[in-house]
Amino acid sequence: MYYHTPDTTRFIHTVRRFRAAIIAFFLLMSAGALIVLKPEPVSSDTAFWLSESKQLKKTQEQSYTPTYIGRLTIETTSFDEGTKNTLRGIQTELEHLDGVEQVESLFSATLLYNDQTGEESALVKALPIAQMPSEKIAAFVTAFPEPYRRFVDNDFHRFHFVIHSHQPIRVEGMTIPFSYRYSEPTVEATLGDYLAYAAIFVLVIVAMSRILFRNYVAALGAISVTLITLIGTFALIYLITGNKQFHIAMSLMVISIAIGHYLYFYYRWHVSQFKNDPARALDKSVNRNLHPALWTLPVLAISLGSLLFIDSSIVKTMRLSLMISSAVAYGVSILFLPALLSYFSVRHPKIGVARVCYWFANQEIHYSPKLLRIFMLFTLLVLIFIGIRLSTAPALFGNEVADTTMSLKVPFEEIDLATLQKIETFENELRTRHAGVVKVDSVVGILKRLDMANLPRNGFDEQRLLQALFFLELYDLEKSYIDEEALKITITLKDADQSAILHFVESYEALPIYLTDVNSLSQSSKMEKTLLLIASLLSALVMIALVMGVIFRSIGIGLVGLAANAIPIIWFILFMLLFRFELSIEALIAMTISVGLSSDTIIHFGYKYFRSRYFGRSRKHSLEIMFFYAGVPAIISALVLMIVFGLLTLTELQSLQLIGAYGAVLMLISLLSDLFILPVLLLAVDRHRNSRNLPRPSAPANP
Amino acid sequence: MIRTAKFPTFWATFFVVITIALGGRLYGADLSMQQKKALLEPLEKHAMVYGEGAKKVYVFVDPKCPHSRDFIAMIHENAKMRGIYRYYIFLYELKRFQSHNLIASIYASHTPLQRTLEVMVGHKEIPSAQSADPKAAETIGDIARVADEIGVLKRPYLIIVKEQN
Repeated sequence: MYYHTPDTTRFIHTVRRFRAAIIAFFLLMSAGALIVLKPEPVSSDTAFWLSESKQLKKTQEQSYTPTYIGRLTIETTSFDEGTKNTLRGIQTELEHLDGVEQVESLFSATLLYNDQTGEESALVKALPIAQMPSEKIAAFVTAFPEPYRRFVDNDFHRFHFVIHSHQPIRVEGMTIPFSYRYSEPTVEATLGDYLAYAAIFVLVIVAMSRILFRNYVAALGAISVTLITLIGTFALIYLITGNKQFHIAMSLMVISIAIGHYLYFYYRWHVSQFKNDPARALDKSVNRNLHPALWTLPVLAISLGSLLFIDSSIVKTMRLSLMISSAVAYGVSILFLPALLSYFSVRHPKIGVARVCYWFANQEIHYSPKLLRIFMLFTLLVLIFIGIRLSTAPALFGNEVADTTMSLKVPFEEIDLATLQKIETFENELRTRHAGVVKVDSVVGILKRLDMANLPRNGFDEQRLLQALFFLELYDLEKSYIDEEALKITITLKDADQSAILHFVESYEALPIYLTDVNSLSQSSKMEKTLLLIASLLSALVMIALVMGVIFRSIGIGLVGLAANAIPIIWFILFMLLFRFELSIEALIAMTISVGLSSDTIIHFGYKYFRSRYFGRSRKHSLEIMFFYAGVPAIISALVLMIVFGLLTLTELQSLQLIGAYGAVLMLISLLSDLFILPVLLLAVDRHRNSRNLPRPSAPANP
Repeated sequence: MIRTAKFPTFWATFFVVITIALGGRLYGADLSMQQKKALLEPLEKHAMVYGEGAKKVYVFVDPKCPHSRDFIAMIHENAKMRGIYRYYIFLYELKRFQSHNLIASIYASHTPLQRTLEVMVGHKEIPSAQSADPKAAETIGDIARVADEIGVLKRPYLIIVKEQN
């Protein structure tokens, strides 16, 4: 229980005695694991989602190969002959990149016409638009923009190249003498990205160490504990799952947990040197944190352990990362860290935060129960709103896309009028029901263009279809629209809700449609898993509450645990819904980090508060002690992580930007909840009304 | 009163009849694919068959028409299209090109397809037939009769037969 103070003197003595061996053991084990296991960092979550996509299975059953679709947008100041030739060159270069199947652009488009001079002719001609002079291209596309609007903007300054490939394509190596933007969300991070990510982390840690603790020991400890935890976690995950890959976002989860654990131990060692020698400070660092840090492990193990049986590798990997990193960080903090810190002492043990702690304690001791009830009721209403949205909207999280191309396939036996009619009906319904569908490109469109060039009359009979197909083959245009077993449909979206469109496509029954681009398949898998992931998160919250209730032997603490963990998540989901953020692995990881850190904070806060109350401290004094010993490390870790997350939004990689944005927002919400709601909830469930009546232990210990 | 009432009725009927008749003649819309096939299959004996594909394409061309020449040149240069389709080529004059004698000369030759390719793809000048070869005349007549019934006004004019599984 929280009033027991473990006697760690002998333990610390042993650690000090074998400190060099302990440090060497951890370092060698970590280096060995790194060299032997060679973990493979991945920054794209596509593989995770695709591994459990039902749509992908359907697509693969048809022997369709998923394709990656990238979009290269080039901005030019003018469109003259020189620009045209350079853009043609880029088209050719793109077509010759490894793995590229097809590049759609104005420079791959064809002008279809019937050169009727005097007599009529049934000969349709096709002229690659790129062969026309630039002025004529501009005039022609301006006059007939419909087939080309997805490739060029009205002012002829922005050109789009849609690249279909078997693997993610990088364009950095190409010579593009214009400003350009390349969007390929599934592209992997480079070594440079990872180094930038590591550099940001190290810089923030060193800055924290200098500014708050006025030394470099804190940074050394933080970096070494984090590194060893990171390597240890992935080594254990590899031994359990056999998977060498780890998502970069998961490394952030491990870092957060490691920093969270580390700061409680380091901070106590640091401030204890104000009154004690370093050896006694080390003892206090361990014996005051041994229990609360240990309690985090069963809380996470019991609450998250059941989720490991869920048939989802994403859920398993995330929960496993959280549990293992927590256990490894605990081991490192009680063994490696004391061994390391035993070599040092601090010159400035005073931390100028006592006034802040008093301020918080003063404010919150006079909390208004009425306001608390209103806030809790409001949060409950938000939860109900989310629940209603979840049950009514299949795609809970909209995925608003600026410019995206989706590719679909429709199996066919024969291209006849009935098949074309079905595709046309699908296209019309898609356009009618969803805003933002710029263009639907299929064999129907090209056949109609060929027919119109041949015989511009209404009605489309079988003979005209056969003739259009004839010209399609004659000019080798069919490979963009037909392959051996399927008709291809390309949908261009601008400012559209891709989730809603995916739902429409998946539930469309009049035509067998298969998603074939990796982005849509991945997005579809996210939609499939939304309920499961949110349910698993909620069940984890309930389990955490139960376990906390058992540990503290109090239903009230269990309810505090549930509320304090759920509040940041509920408000974060509301934030995502309001700002139309998409559900991604990054968002889920941010939520999981929040659960991990909040559980840790609740236990440390509860431990410190009730321990102080048990030893006869007043409610206000207990709050001050809680803020000083548990609140400050919680604030520091939240601030450090918020700065790290915030700086990640400045990187080039979309995955890191998302983790950064989600993490920073959730960390802020969690911090506010920990500082303003959690202490008040603890006060609300505090039944030690009169401390004088409490049984006292024979030897009262210092909290 | 009676005359003014009958006059528009007469002209309206006249225009409707003329429109239907001309419409049918112009576009050959009245003939179904089955009817066209029934007309074309007996004509195959006069066709120059080019390509080995499974799908049949009946093509009416004028050897002097530039579009017809473009079309034949495209087929000639495109082995893939000769592998998918089998072309039944008929030479059918467009009056303004006055190619009757040239057509007769080609049909009178021993290798009409070879000669057609020489003229239309190779732009070779060949002497036009001075005296009518009765067999060539019969061929030209048969083709003209069927083309007329189908309503072939364009050159090239294509009729593609749907592949039967």
